[in-house]
Amino acid sequence: MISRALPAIVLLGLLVLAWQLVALHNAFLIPRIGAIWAQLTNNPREFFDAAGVTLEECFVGLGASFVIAFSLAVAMTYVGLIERAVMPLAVILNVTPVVALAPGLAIALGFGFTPRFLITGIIVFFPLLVNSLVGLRSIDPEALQYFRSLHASRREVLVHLRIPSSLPFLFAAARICFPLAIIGAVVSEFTTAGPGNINGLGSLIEIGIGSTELSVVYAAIFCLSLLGLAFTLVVVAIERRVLAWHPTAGPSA
Amino acid sequence: MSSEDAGLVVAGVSKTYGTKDGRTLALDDVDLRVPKGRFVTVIGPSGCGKSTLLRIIAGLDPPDRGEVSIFGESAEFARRAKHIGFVPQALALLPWRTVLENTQLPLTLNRSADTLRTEPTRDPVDLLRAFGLGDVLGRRPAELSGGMRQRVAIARSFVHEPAVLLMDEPFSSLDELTSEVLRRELLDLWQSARTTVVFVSHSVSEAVLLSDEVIVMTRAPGKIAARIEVRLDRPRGDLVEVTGEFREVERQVRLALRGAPAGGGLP
Repeated sequence: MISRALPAIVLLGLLVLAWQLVALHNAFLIPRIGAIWAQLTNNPREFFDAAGVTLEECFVGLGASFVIAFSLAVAMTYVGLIERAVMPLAVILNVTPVVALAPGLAIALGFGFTPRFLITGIIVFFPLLVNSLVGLRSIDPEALQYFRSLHASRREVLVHLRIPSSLPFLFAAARICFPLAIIGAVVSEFTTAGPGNINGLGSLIEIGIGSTELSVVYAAIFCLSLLGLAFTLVVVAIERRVLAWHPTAGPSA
Repeated sequence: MSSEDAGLVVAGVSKTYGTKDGRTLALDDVDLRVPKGRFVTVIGPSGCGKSTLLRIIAGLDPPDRGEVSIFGESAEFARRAKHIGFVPQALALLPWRTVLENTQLPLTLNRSADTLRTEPTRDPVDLLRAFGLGDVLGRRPAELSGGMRQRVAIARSFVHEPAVLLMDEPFSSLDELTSEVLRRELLDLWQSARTTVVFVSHSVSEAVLLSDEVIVMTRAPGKIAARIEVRLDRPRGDLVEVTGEFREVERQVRLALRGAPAGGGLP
């Protein structure tokens, strides 16, 4: 275990060292490691609360988006018309950079949570929709025929065949979408940051830049990385349990 | 004789499939009668429409002409009433379900059919135990050998006590020794259940060993070329394959497959 992780640890150590060397001579470009650490340990509450806010935005955006995307995918599976209506618009939404939408949405919807949920939801919507759709369709045709030989209802085919078949795709989507959701949350916080607003980690970055407190900026970034890492590990752990039957279930994360 | 006693009747069934180079006649005016409790094997070269015939009997595909009746009811009704036990060629076990859960599937699905039928279902655990799968109830299909997966698919097709069992080359993916064992196990199970069976095969000795009657089909168009009665005692003896009668039936089937008229008149 140690020996496997060793190359990464050594490389990380070298990068930290290089960072520290640059920071010692150019404190106005990047903060020293000690200063970032001091920010985190002096105001743990502030970062903890901000992380909670960002996490909430991610989960609400992701959750709502998943419910809508999956329901739409189920509808598309059975009604071709819905797919022809929704898919082109979803593609347009997907190719539009969400970052560009964020300021406008903040003006339209205020500087509270609403635009943040919306941005986060939009950014993960397309991968969720496509993966759900492909997953629900990835059924074994012989299994479908077997279900039909027992006159299984559409609902039974959905519950006992389509949804279990879609799980590997949904987990793949989860791994893509959480980092995306964090991006959405941070970007939306940039445009809604300000005194009196509820601050997430993105807001702290925006405020830190404004007040040239670089150590705050990088402390917030450090927290965001931890958040992404923690989520990935949780998804992988759940996936290993739930998808134990799937051929891809294996040691690789 | 009431239509119910007639068992499974396929009358004048034709089926055409559209392909990119025109339309192919898959089945041409096929008649088949399988009295209740008979084991009938349909044999023929690949592409002779065996699987199509099975799908039509299962009510999965409507015929263009002709009709299917199962104990006096339509194929569609038989399917709705869960009278069909189907073993697809690729088994179609659900990889996320355990052996036991896969076997329970016919009991879980289409529960409304349970009001249409009077036959009691079997206990899946007893059935699996009797089939030598008692130790792997909690395993998933991927953890089993090919022969064991096959046993699960067969157990699954028996669990709801279907009136008609349709098996599409179930042993074709197994090695000869394993399929030898499984044929015997299937015969034992069938001997106790006496289900009406239509079995599709491309092995002559398999067809003769299992069946009361072998139906030989030819390809393009799929037609029935010969029907050969297998008058060997049930239960089939341990070494029935090496007896003269067995060899004689095999010979008739082989000749029919080559297109020669079967039965008497041949040296």
